[in-house]
Amino acid sequence: MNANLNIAPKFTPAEFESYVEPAAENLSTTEHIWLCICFPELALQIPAREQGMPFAVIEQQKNRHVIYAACNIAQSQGITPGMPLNAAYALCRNLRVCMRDATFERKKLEQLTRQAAHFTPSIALQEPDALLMEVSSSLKLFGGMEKLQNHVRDTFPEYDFSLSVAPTPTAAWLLAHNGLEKTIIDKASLKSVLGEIALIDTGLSMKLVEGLSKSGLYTLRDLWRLPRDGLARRFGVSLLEFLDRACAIQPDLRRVFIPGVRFKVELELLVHSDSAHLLLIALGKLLEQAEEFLRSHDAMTDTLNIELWHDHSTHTPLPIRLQKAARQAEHFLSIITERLDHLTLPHTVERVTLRIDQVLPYAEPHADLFDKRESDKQDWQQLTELIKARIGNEKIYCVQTIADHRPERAWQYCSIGKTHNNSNTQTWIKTLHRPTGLLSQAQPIAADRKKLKFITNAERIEGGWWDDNDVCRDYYVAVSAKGSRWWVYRDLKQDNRWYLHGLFT
Amino acid sequence: MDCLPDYAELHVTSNFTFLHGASHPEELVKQACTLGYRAIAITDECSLSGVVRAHVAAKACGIKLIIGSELKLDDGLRCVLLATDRASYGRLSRLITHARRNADKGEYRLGREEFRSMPPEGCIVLWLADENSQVKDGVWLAKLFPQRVWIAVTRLLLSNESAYLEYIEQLSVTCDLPRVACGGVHMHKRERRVLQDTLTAIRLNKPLNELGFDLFPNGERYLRSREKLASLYSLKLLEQTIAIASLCNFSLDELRYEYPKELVPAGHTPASWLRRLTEQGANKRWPQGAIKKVKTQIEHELKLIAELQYESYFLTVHDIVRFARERGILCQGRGSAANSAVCYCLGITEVNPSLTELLFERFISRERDEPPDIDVDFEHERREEVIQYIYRYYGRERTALAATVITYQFRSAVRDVGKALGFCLEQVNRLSKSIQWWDGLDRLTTQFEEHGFDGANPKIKKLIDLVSVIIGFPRHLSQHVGGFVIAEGDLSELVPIENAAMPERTVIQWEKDDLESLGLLKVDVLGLGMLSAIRKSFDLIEGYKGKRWSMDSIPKEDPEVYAMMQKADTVGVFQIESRAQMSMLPRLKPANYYDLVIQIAIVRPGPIQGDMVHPYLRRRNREEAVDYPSEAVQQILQRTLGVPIFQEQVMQIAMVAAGFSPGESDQLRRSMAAWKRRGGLEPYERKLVDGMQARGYPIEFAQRIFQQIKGFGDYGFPESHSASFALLAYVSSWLKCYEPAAFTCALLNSQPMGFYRPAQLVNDARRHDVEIRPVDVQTSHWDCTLEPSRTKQPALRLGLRMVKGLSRNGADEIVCQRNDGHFRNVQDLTQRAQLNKKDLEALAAANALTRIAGHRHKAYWEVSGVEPATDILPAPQFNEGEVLLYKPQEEENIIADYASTGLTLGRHPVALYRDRLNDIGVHPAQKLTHLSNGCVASVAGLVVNRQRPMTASGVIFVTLEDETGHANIVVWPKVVEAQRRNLIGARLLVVHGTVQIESDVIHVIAKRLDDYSKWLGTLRTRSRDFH
Repeated sequence: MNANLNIAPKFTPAEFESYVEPAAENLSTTEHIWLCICFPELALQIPAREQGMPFAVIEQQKNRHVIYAACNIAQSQGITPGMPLNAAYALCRNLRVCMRDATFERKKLEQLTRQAAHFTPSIALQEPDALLMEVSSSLKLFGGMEKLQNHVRDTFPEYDFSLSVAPTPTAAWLLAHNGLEKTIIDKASLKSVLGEIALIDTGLSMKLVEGLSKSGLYTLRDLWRLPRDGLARRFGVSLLEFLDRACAIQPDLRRVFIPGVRFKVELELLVHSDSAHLLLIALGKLLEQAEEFLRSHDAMTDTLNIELWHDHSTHTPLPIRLQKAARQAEHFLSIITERLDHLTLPHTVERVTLRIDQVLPYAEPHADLFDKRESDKQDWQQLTELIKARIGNEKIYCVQTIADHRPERAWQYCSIGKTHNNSNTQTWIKTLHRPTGLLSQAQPIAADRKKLKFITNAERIEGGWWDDNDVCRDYYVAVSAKGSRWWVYRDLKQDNRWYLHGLFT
Repeated sequence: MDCLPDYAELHVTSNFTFLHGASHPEELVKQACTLGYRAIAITDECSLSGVVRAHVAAKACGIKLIIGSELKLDDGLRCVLLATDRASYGRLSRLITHARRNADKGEYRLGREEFRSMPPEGCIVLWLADENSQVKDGVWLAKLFPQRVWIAVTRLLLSNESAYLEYIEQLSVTCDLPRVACGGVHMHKRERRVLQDTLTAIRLNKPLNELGFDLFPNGERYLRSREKLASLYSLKLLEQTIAIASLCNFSLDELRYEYPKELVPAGHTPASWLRRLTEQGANKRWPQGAIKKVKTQIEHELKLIAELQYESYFLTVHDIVRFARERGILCQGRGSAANSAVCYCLGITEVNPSLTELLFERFISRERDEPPDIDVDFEHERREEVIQYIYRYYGRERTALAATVITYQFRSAVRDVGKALGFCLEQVNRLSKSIQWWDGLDRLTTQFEEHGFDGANPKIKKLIDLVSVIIGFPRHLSQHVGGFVIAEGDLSELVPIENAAMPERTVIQWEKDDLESLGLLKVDVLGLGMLSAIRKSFDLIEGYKGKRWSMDSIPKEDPEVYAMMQKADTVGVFQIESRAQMSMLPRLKPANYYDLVIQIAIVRPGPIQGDMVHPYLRRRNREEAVDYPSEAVQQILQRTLGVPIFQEQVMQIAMVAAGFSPGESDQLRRSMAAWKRRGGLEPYERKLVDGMQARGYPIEFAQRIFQQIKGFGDYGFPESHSASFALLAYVSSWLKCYEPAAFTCALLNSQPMGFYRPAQLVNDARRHDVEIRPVDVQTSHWDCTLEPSRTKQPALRLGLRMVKGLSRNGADEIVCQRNDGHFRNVQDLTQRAQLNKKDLEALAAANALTRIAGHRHKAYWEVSGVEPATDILPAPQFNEGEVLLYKPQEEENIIADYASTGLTLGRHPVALYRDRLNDIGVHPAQKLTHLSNGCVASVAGLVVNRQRPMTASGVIFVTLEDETGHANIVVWPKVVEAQRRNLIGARLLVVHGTVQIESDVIHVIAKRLDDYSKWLGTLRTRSRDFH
């Protein structure tokens, strides 16, 4: 694998790939042909972008923001990538900016892969902004290189891109990245074409490029002229490897990206049955396979699609949605057990299928052996999942306290698992004199006020000017004519009107 | 007379409990007075920083001020301590010092045991108890402060207040302690609640909507009306406040402190010893005896010093200066008292009183109750030695630096308030950086709108409101640049001392203005780069000529030196080297020392804003008659041809022409320094203008004087400082004129300092026929050095200090190992000097290895292949074949030179493009002198300076440098707007415009600006010649 070098694409675990078979070392002409399409404006395609305004995407570098990419309008005003944001504002006062979103770019690139998949199954991502397609076997189908290229060009009408073809992916990318739209089939001519490319535009690290420039080395050609041992000793073997891959001296392997990989298994039941017990045994087997699948891809999932087939055309769906993604068959099974208990099957089941449509990169649960709280939390989580499995997702929620002096804002509903109470809030709340029940809307009590007997001093509550809900109230505990204890307030912002806000039990 | 009960507020947190209190001490005091309180205490947490301001305000409005402080012990016990007399104040101050010195900067720590071992006896204690407080704490306090402890009862309308009140009552009974009403005040008016919440957000570094219970539940912590207080507290509790206030009878006016006495030998009084030292000094200065006028002057001064008992102050400064002189550290005093005859005799200043008689009117004056002011500048690299001497000699308990209260400025205010209101980081940066605050707060809304923010947005409105209040709020204490307070006794009994950010530095909790308000003295020990450079010049000249110059022996009033100044040939010279000064020199044509004093003072915001510059020039050039609005004013303004230039003159005019009392005039002087931050000049304006009109002066004159006062704001520039600076300007000009090699060498060895970068200093020296030799690992020392040459001036060899990234250790090792013979090659250098890769690369980048490794590219290739020896293994030897590397092109070398040493000895970069520039009709900068006024001209050059002076409403000044010199460009606001991009972005700029010549000063008024920076970065187009 080609992991050492800086230009090596980064992979996230969620990707499912196989390797394009490396060409045998001594292949001469009939090998791979790589087509690279580079989308330099990908980062600017952010939906929030205001059209017609100078726009730039910025990124954080150390303590400052710098321009990552700029639209044409912004560029025409002198804004260039790498420029500090302040300098950019000095040039263009109405510049609109957005933080760079690498996830967005990755998603966008994956989308483009789907369109590219039309031409070849062997596509590799070259993050952040390019696709590499191995097209040797597609040439015939599309009627030759020129026609293929035309087809590819027509596929992405809404994008600016540059397109190049070379015998190695590194070379194809170098060309496209530098806007050199060339088609090179012959390996022997690679060096002469790539030689002109400036090192600064090769994706090598800045540090390396700077080091090389100090010896007067600015282009790839400058490097090819030097003794290999001297170069390796000074700048590392990985630099040589990079040069060799570009020129097809060393194999250049890429992981092929396969969009939308799914997992699907099924099991015919030997005995057609509606026994939960038997179904669970069957599902257990499928889930083990699923776990294996997920493990092999270093992934997990929060959705299982199970279908219980009664005959070839009718089935009972049994979708399982988890609060937190997982991959252990055992965990899945415990939840399915609960669900099955509450499921009435119309017929016996003859076949069971299990499908996973979407996976997530695996995240380690906190593996602290001694952290009791974590395991408590897990118990709680499993319990609530069980309850949810039984009565349905929508019917269960929590009440959560919120740190806010305004009583009506001091709590809220939330779905289970989303609570995050801090202890500070809890301690504070304990010191407050608060009723057990709060009216959803405070009731005016102009008429009843005279009959109330106040039994506490005023508690003044002010706050909320920052969210435009500034309140200013004096709260009292009062005893009503019927002897119940009321929590009432006088609204100092609104003519001192009186309201009932809660009841003490 | 109202029938409400009397009240004194005893627990008040001002904004000197940083980011807690939401009102200035002055505001609190004034509001308490307005509300009819009998007294108010300022009790900031473990701090007395705000009390002097409160004291001044309380005196002005006539309310009693109580000095105190709130403290929280490590175990949570909280109380307020109030000083009752001078002794208890001293103990409180000592306790605060102890707690502060015990913790990091800005924090304090006080354990119960420490509190018990040094209780501030005599103080009143208010125990800030709550429902969790324990009886034993009350008993403990009562035992420690018998009959002096009260329990504070603070009613803030909180939840469950009755439970709290009951509990306090219980405590009171159980502990047998009386209760007293308190406000727990954090702001003077309830409107400040919004600000108080914001301060909390800033303090906790969270946006407001996430603060929750970290905010106060309501805004009751303000100074409440007595009516309201009467409804909240029982009469008994209110009466106790008055009882306590009547026990507190300490005023800051009682503070007196004495300068150290140990400098006076036995058998002498301070006065007799000062006289002795002065006479000794006079004999040295005037071996043939001083002239009569000087003698009279000395007598006059000594008498005045004795009368005001300032002898110890002068002796203390003398002692510091004596120490510096013994160590060979150059120093020079300035300030009102510094340029006195006595100080000249004592060696505090080199400004000779017989040189001009005009300076000494404003010595210390009997009428103005104003302490003498002596600042002493020392060589900037050796100031620390002086500071350490002071600490060592007087001891840490007797000396500390004055504080500087760092306050919110526009940018920091927008940033912090913006963050609190939940603006994202990017927005906050944008808001704070892209706005020009000097346009004034009233234009803020418009400015925000211009930058794409909606001015009507409520959040922006809040931001603007809050920012305008928070500006000027203190944020933290920092150390004053060099103001030392030295006391005869324990300084911490006078004012608390705390740790500064620098280790082993301590600061008092008051700043310069506070000290002045109380009439306390300080000595400013400042660092000045030019003094280092002058001393180093003297050393260098002695080294190659054998003659030792001193400040005193440099020939005075040399016409050659003034001729040089008049040509504005002053790069590197002290003060008169800036662009503005340079453009004034040919107009003002200084021809003697006093002209220089004026030259230095006139190019400042004060005279410029007061429109005093042109009248002075006209009168000096005899284009306008010199006249005076009155005889009294003539006395003041005669020496400046009727135009007020110095701060002293303006103050005197305020007294003579507008009827200010000396005290008012002094108040005005202080408000001047602060008005930009705090405002508050308006009442003076009315008084000044009215006063002058009433005395028959024209209103225009009055208004010009006031404008000038406003201009002095940030940089009030008195004659007494200018006189000292003029001396240094003269000495450095003399050195530049007669010893340019040594002077440039000394400047390079004192960097960073001054207005110009090394490249410009070196270029200037080359223009004056000094040969500059490159950094060379075989000859260079750490510092730049002088080497024999064939010309009149020695050659200047650049030192290893110029090499960016080279460690001092590496450089020292190179110099040391070279004693055993030159280095044979890179391997030899690496081994003998034990250099690491970083040092080697730095040397290669600086082209310092030419003699052992060939050109830069080769050198770099070689050093990057070196593998240094380790403890176990010797350095490996490699036999590599000859490598074909391109010889660096001229342009590459120039760029690499700049990147490493900040200068090049090759051609000026612009020279490389001269042919191309000729093609587009660009003149070399020097050719501009051949053009006449109004000519169309084009110049090109590297942008070496862009300035937007606050005094020049939107105009931007640009200095371009080409191989022939500098060109000064003026860009009017319209052009700035239209061509902003080229103006701000360009490194190589071509300017088309018209020539403007005024008294030999040449400017190009820009019409069009073209950015040719692209020419500079053409590294990749290259020829293919191997070497």
